[in-house]
Amino acid sequence: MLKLLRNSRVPRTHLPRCSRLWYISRPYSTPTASADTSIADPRTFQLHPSLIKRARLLSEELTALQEKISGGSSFSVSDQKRFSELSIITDTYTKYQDHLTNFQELQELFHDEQEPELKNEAEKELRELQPELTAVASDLKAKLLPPHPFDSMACILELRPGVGGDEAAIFSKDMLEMYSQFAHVKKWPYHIMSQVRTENNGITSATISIDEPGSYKLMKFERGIHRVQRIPETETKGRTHTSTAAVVVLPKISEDNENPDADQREFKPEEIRVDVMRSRGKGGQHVNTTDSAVRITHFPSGIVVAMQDERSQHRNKAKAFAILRARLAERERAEKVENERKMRTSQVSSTDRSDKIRTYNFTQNRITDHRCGFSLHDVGGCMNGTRLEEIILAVEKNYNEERSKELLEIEENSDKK
Amino acid sequence: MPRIPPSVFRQALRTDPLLVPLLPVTRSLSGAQAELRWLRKEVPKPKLPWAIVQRSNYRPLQYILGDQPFLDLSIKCAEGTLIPRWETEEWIARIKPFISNVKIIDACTGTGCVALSFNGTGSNIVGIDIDTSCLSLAKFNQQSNRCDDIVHWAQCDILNWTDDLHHVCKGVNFLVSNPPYIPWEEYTKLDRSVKNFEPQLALVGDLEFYNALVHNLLEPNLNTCDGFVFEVGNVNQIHHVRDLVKKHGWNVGYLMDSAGYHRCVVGWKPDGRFDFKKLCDFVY
Ligand SMILES: C[S@@+](CC[C@H](N)C(=O)[O-])C[C@H]1O[C@@H](n2cnc3c(N)ncnc32)[C@H](O)[C@@H]1O
Repeated sequence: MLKLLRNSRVPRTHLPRCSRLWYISRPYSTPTASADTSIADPRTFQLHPSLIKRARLLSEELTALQEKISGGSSFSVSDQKRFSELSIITDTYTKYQDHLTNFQELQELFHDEQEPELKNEAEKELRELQPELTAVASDLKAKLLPPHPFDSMACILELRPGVGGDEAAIFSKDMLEMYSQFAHVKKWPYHIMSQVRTENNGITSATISIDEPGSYKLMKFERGIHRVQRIPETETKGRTHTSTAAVVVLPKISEDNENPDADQREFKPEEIRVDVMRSRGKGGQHVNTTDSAVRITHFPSGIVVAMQDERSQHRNKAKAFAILRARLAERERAEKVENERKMRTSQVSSTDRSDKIRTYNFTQNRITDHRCGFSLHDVGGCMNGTRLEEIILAVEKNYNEERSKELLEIEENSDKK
Repeated sequence: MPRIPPSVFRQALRTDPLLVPLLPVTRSLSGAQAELRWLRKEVPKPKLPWAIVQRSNYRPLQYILGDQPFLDLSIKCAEGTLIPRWETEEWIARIKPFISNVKIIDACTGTGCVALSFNGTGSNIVGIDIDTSCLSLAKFNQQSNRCDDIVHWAQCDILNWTDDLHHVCKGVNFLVSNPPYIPWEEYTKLDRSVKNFEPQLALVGDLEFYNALVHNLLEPNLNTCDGFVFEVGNVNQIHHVRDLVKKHGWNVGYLMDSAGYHRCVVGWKPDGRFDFKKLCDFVY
């Protein structure tokens, strides 16, 4: 490292003195890191010391685990899981270090005035290596950040029209379609748990369950207000309307095909009330109604879940409980985040605020995500599920940047104390 | 019955004209919408108009679609056999965790939905019905749902004590039944879709069935049988059963359903293998 710094052309005085500077260089968003422009400064790819420290700790943990196995002591399922998690991170870390060293050495060659004949060769290799290094650095950064507690779970998305009347309901329906298609493209199992249609082929609400474990990791970025700007089919004067749809993303805590009685027993009787449609007459053999609607009220939180899509009341109840538990878990998490935030004085990241997160501008064939400024110029490709992931990944990268920034602030604050 | 306001008809017409013929049957727009959705999903397109006409003539949806989900089973339904009710599904889901590795008798089995629900408890299950067409439907349901526990079917009249009945019920540990429980006076006032389409044999009955269950099925097997659950239509039937088993020193309680009606009478032997106290909403 020191050797490199000496040989590098960058004057020493420009080297980072305070750790804050490490963050000015953002591998993802720095234009110098892309393949077709000039060679980036190796510092661009360096990670914050706290992340490096974490990587070291994790590889030490891995070594300890390895010793445990070779020592012949028992190796539990959770050990196994941890082992593979750690191996993945450590592998990425090693790869990152190799690439970085390579990059630095090539750069030395590139700037070595004594060997001009190697300059071209070095430049060529640098250009090849640069995007790889960018990718592995950002991958490593994402892996080193403490994981979101629900990232390994399946998820439930709830959609609801916001402002804009009929058009909002139709847009919500389009979004439901987009998420179904997206799950389909990803080969993720999914099912629509419920939807209430409007007269104009829109929806007043819909719930889709994406049953792939770990789908929460990507889908959580869909939470928030989505805004659409387009000329509705019903609009005769050709005016562009603006309307919105709200998306809530919940972790799937329990399956919706489990026995709802077991679910119900987990709540105190006074906390919960289950209402069914009370049919005419005395029920039982007296009526063969198909009305299978169920409503669950959870008094401590005020959450009410109604479900009527299934022909079996039992299934409706199971689904309603799955949604109730998901909402409770999400609420608990949000409260925890809020409390942690209150304890810090810092500016909060924009990712968790629930204002308009994205605009779908049909007239300009453009979708812009306001959290990271990323634009996709292919509305159709996004709405049919094939290119939504590009947007989500851009948001995720931005989110990881912001989180490492937060991590830094926390550490700086604790250093001051 | 209260009339459906014209505004609801108009709204239905605007939303989807096919909802209109369903409205008088379901009596609510949301009900009509749900049924239309299920019909569209399960009936092949060319048959949809036929299905809607059938339904508008009060034929039960379950007979038109041909099945009804029941817990994790799909129960085939056909005219001549009672459609399983959600109330039954509900109490079975509650009682099932208490049952394992026993001999179960399901008297008055109909589609077999009650008997088959206990598949997976490692039990030996026998379903009894007087009607052979019910029993063949029950057998079909056993196969289509791949119920691997030992399930047998027996044709018996539970109202008459016969050697056959005696033989079938011998050694029973747990007795369940959803017998016909609608008194005749009430039967004549039932909804068209019940009265005109579901079998009277499955519906009309009263205390005689509870007498038969206790005298012909339970009492001859008091040494092996440790508990029972009978579905009921009113609280009077609960009291009647309670009084019948009191002399044997059994505990008795009842279950309410989610709609707030008295739904089952539950009995268990004081030192037997079942402790249904935790299950009951009320214990006498
Ligand atoms: C209310 S249905 C119950 C069906 C099914 N167990 C259920 O819960 O959906 C009553 C059943 O009892 C049968 N049944 C009527 N009289 C009977 C008798 N005397 N002996 C045995 N079964 C009888 C009918 O055929 C009918 O299938």
